[in-house]
Amino acid sequence: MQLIVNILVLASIYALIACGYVLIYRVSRVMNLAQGELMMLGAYLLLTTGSVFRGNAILAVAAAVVLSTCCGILVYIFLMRKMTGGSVLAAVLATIALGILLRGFMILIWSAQQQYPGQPIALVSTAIILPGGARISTFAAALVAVNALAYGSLFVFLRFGRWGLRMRAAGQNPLLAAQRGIKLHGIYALAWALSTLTGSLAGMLLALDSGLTANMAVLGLKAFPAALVGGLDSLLGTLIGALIVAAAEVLSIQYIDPLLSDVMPFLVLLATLIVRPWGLLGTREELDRV
Amino acid sequence: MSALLSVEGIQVIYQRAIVGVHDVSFKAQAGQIIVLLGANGAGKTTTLRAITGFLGLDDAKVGQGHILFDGTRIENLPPYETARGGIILVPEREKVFPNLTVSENLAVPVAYRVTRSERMHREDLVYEMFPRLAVLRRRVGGLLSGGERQMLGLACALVSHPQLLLIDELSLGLAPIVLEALMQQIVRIRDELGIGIVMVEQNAVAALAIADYAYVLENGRIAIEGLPQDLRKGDQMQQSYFGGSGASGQRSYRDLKRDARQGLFDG
Amino acid sequence: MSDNSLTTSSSGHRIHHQGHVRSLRWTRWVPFGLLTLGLVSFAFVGSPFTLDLASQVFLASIGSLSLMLLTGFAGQISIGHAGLIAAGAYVVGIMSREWHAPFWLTLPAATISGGVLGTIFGLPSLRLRGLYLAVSTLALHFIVIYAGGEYEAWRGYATGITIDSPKIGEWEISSELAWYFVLLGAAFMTLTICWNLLRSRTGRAWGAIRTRETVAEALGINIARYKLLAFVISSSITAAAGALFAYNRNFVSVEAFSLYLSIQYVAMIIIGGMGSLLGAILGAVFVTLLPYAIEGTVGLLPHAERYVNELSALNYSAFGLVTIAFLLFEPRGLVGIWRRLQAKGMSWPSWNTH
Repeated sequence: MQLIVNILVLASIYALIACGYVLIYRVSRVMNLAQGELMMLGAYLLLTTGSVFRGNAILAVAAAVVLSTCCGILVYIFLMRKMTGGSVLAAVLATIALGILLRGFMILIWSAQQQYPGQPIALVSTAIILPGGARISTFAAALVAVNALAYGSLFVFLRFGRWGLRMRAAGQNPLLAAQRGIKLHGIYALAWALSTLTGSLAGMLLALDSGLTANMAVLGLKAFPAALVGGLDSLLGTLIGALIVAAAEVLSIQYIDPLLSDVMPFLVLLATLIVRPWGLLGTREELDRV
Repeated sequence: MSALLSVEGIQVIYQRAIVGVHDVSFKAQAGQIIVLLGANGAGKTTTLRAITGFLGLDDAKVGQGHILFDGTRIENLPPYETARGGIILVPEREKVFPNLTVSENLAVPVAYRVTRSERMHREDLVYEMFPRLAVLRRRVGGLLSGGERQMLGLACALVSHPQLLLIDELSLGLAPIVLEALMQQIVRIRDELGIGIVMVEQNAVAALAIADYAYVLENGRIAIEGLPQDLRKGDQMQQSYFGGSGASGQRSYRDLKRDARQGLFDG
Repeated sequence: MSDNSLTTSSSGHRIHHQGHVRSLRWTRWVPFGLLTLGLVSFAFVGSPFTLDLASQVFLASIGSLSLMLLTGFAGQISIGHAGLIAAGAYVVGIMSREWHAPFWLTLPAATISGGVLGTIFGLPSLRLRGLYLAVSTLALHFIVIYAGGEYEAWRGYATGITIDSPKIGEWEISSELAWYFVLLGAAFMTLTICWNLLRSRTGRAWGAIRTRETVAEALGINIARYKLLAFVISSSITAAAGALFAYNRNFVSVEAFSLYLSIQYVAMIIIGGMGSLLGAILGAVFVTLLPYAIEGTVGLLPHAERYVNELSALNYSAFGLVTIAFLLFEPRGLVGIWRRLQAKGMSWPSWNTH
């Protein structure tokens, strides 16, 4: 039972982070390899807003959320916007450079020590005991809930919202979308905003749960396989992919070797590339024969 | 009445080297159907793309000349800007979103300076003009037949509330009956909405049937222009585009080409 | 470029090369000759520290040249360079510790292991259009690091594997001077290999794929095969560099191979200028020397001791900033700047174009 809880929690983490990959990939074919660092940025921002709004958890979290979304938009406006229209290769290289830049800045501003954003705002992790004897911390439970909420809202927005529809259209055929009056830069900025929002929510909750280290960005990379397994342009697929990757990781830690934890998602990634590269629910791509 | 669209002596250059259009000038008024005819490679589609700003993707640009829309110069503006200004294109190939349903396709276009009720009104009109689309509301764009896709392309263009509608090769791959019906609707669009329409066509017969004025392009220049009835009567048009015998009797293909080379088509 | 090309000199007159070149062909080699002379004499003039620094630059050039082959010419990103270097290093470490294998066995083995990894991780991803190699190499990195860590744990090497310096007969290659020449030679060899590859049919195919993939396909070029070839060759060279790295340090340990190392190589080719072998070398010089420059600058500030802890963060930030600046403002990299200066006639007019 505990295993299932662990899988669910890990899957929620991966899914929340990975939906950022999917959103940006879907509209612009760019793999945002800085997602891990953006996720950490959210957590660090919470640290700051926490010390500004001492004791007031809601305000601190809200402020951090708003700030990180703004950061996502700023990243688009000042960097990625200049890369649209060029090759996707250059854009992905820009995200790699961005990631390392953010990492440096974050250490410079907040130092590399382990931090606890929960302390200033009096949010402490407690364990909830579930039926069956499994334990889950409050923030882990929040992660699962927030993940469900995020995916639910995104599904509704993309499927039924007018601008969600336009996002999907822009992803399918940017040219035609532009001809139909859609401002592509607005769509891309929106994708980056939503992506940073979900990523930083994940980062914040993780930091509240188990502290904030400079190494958290690795989690962002481990979440990528979830997106690939599900299909880089499918949100539902990513949800399922996250479950698969999390299950593989948790079970292999339990039954094979604890050291496998960092590698397992990438073994799943490799297997996916070999067997079904477009993922479970992604658009099928043409395979060249070697 | 000053022209809605005025193309003045434009030259389009691909990749800084290849000239696709040498010197094309024409005008279009509101409430008129202008037709651009010509064989493959004559420069018709390039001209349309020059007007809508799609050239940049092929690394092409308008080298010389102007394009004026309602008095403003629009050459080399990006597609989003020209669409915003009211010039809407129904492209030759990818004209619908393949993974969106018909009704979703119709919801996508952003119509500027249009109220919500005006937009709903227009959508109703579109469903009334193309009843088949109403039946296919939930069908995904990629699964539509050629004719249905043309209808949807036209419908989406109309929903954007254009002032100038550009249509690229409407007749491609369409059965004559379907084409006939679509052409009727285009006449209706001109009459009811009073917008300007510029059509690029290879099917001269169908196009001339509804045109108010026509231009024939050849090798990137305008070879002939005139009213449809005049064009239909002219010898050259007969021979090249209608394949019938002109006043001078039947001529062999070889003679035709020889005359063409001797500049018989210089207008 | 052929010798018969017409070029415009900086003064605007058209010069027909052919006549000039026949009588002045030797001037082509003057810059190279000077450079070689300079590099060789530097060996006897420089201090051990600078010799070692230069050796690091040479070693980095090998990696950046191989990455340039892949990214600059075949158009694929790899963030697995650290993994490949690690693979080469570990092959050397394992073979020399377990079987006391000499370097003339371990070096080829390392190179082959690079090729094998290139095939395993390249084949699934290069069949696809798009940047799937990037994610594949991400997997490569983590899997290789894991394997290396497992080996160290299994053998109980808490801090890493120590390796003896390579020996030719009785002579041990361990001094800075010796390594200077070894790595200079290796870098030169790599440059020659890459240069010849690019002029071959393979190189032309890569160029075609990079500029217009659809056209290349129409011309009958098997895209996937050439992409895979680029990655396998690149991986082999990189693993060989890893082997040299292991011998140079006399030490292999997992901590040396972080993603940051891979990113440094990516930065080298961006800063140097994509699509140019000269750019790979310039980028390697820049990126290797940058941390030292930063450290030196920080040392000049008052209360320098306070900033010592921030050095790695400063390095990260500087790398990110410089790379982004080049991506945004100077996409042709240092080579682009160099060419522009050349065109303005600020350096002596060069007959080589590359």
